[in-house]
Amino acid sequence: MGDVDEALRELHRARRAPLRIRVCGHPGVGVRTLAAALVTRFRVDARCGPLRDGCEQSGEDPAGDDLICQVLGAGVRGCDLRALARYRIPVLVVAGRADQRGGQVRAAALAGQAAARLGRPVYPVAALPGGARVDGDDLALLRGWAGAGVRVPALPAGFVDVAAGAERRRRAGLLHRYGPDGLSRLLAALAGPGGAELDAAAATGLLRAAGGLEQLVAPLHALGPAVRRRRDARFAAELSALAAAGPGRDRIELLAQRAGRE
Amino acid sequence: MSEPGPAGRPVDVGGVPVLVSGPVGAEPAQLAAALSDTALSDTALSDTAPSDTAPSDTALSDPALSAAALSTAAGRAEGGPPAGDGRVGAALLALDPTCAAGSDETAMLAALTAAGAPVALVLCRAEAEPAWPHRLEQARTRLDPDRRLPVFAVSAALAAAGEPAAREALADLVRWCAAPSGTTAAVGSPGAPPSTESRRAEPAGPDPAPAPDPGRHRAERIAGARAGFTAARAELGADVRTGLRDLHRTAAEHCRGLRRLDPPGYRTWLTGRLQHWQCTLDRRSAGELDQIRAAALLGLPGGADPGEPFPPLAAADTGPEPALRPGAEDAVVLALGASAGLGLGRTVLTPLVSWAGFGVLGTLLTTVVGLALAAGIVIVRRQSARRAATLRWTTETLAAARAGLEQSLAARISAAEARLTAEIWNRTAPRCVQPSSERARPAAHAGTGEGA
Repeated sequence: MGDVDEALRELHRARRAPLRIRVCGHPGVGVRTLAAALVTRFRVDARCGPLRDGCEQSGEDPAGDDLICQVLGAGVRGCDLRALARYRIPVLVVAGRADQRGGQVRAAALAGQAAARLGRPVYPVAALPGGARVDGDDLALLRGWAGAGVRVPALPAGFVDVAAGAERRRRAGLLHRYGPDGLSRLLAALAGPGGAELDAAAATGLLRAAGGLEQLVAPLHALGPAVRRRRDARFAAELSALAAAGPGRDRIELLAQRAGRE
Repeated sequence: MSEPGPAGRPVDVGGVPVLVSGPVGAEPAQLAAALSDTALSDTALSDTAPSDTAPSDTALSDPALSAAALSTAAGRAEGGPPAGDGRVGAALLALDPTCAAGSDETAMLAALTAAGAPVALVLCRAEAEPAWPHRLEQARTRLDPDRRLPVFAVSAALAAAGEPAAREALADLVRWCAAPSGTTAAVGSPGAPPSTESRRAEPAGPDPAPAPDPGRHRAERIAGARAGFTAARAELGADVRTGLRDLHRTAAEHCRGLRRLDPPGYRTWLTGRLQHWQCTLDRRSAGELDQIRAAALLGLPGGADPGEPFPPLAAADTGPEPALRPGAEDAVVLALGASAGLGLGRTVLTPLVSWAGFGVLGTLLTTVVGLALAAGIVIVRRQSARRAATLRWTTETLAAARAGLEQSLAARISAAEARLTAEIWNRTAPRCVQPSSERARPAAHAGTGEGA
């Protein structure tokens, strides 16, 4: 009976667990960055899909996943179309790396083109600034640079190339952490009026506002009922399987009936 | 299939119709417009570009369609009509720096090369991605593993903003479009046989381009690696000097605030800082050497295995702690301190004792105060001596650590250099000996054309 109790506890835990999102997309479009940003911002269980057909797509059995977040690049690729046709669970489509499309207007236009092609909403997000967390050390360093007039050049690689040694490593680290656009925003904010009062929390908020991840809140809420139905169905199916195994059958069937009534 | 950019159509570049294609993220339309503008403003092109080629106004929205049109154009050109009506002089595959190249780009490249026009890979919007060289290398490895196509990296936005380097890069591309060189063989999928069109478009000359000289490439790689090692030696040496100087400065400040019972704690602190710095240096030097190795072996057969681990840097030895044993100098200091203390005590207390009329008690009080002052002077003197000794010990320890670290780093870099040189030799050595020139000929074909 101990095993049955443990299995039941596990089923209940899985039913009440945080939203589990499988993040998929072509390599280089920001799959891992988006998964990390979703975990940071929404406290969900976001995992990257395994690699298949050159795309990081979901595996054959997405039974444990509540929904799939398909990350596009600037446009829709062939592997995106193939993957979207294959999915059987709720899907949220986002256009990644929106901060690298040459401005928000262009990013929104490209997402609009992709949405028109797919016939479903596509949300442009910049996961790198959207999931960033600015710490005090970075802010102090950036404040010093902003005071010295350091800016991210038009060709961002030049931001690192002008320095050497430890300074070069620091610059490369910050560029990698916040992205060219995020770093430009931070330096501009620190150099501008009110920059002296900008603390780490405000700097983090500044970047996150530019990331656009808030757009995902409404569609995630909208997908809630579908996710709940899937979880209930999965719970009932697993209860049935557990009951069929033998021990504690009456109790499990009672639970299944109660779950069905809910 | 990825959405093609709106520029799946020939564009007039200095009188040469050039087909620009690529995924939408590469903004091929922007590249086409920038090429056209640059060609118009570059008067030097008029000397090299064929002037009788009419620009095509065919608008193609799909790369496959573009390829079909190109095939037709190539067939017409071969059939006899003079070049100039609808023939495409060159084709460019625009690459998106914010996304890895995949099967879509492979299909686009296959469609472009099928026409027989010389093709170049062009990484666009270099301003969008700081790591664009890495992206370009990845794309080249996937799309052109034999490295037969020329590659370019451009930024139309920066060129439009007047950035000299970006304008120069675009001008280079325009010059290549005006007089394209390079292979027209199919490279769309690794190992795929050349298509009919591309075979037809191959130059008819009997002599293929000479194979790249492996000896020259080997020498270039070794020279590059040596330059890297020299730079790493200088940079790491500067790191050692700077780091230990900073540590010495911090240690001197600690020494100034050193209390009587501090030395064991100070020793632990200094040892910890030294070990931390050593670990940092170890990691940094390993990273630098890995980077040099990766750059030197880039593109060689055998993959990018991580290589043997580096030997650890020599552990910094802090030596025995300075000990202050009582000696003759301390006895002299004690005697001088006692006499000074007694004198001071007498000077301070005598008027008070006389005024209060303490008598013998006053003499006793004077002696006690004098002894207390003497003890204070001796303690201050001993603390000062201890600080000086600790600072001297710190300086000696850091000097020894610096010598050890510099020696270890030099040994590590020399070992890495020797190992890398041997590896380059081994990996660039000929794999087999061709028994006859007839056998050698295909090998020479396959090795032609280092793209860029």
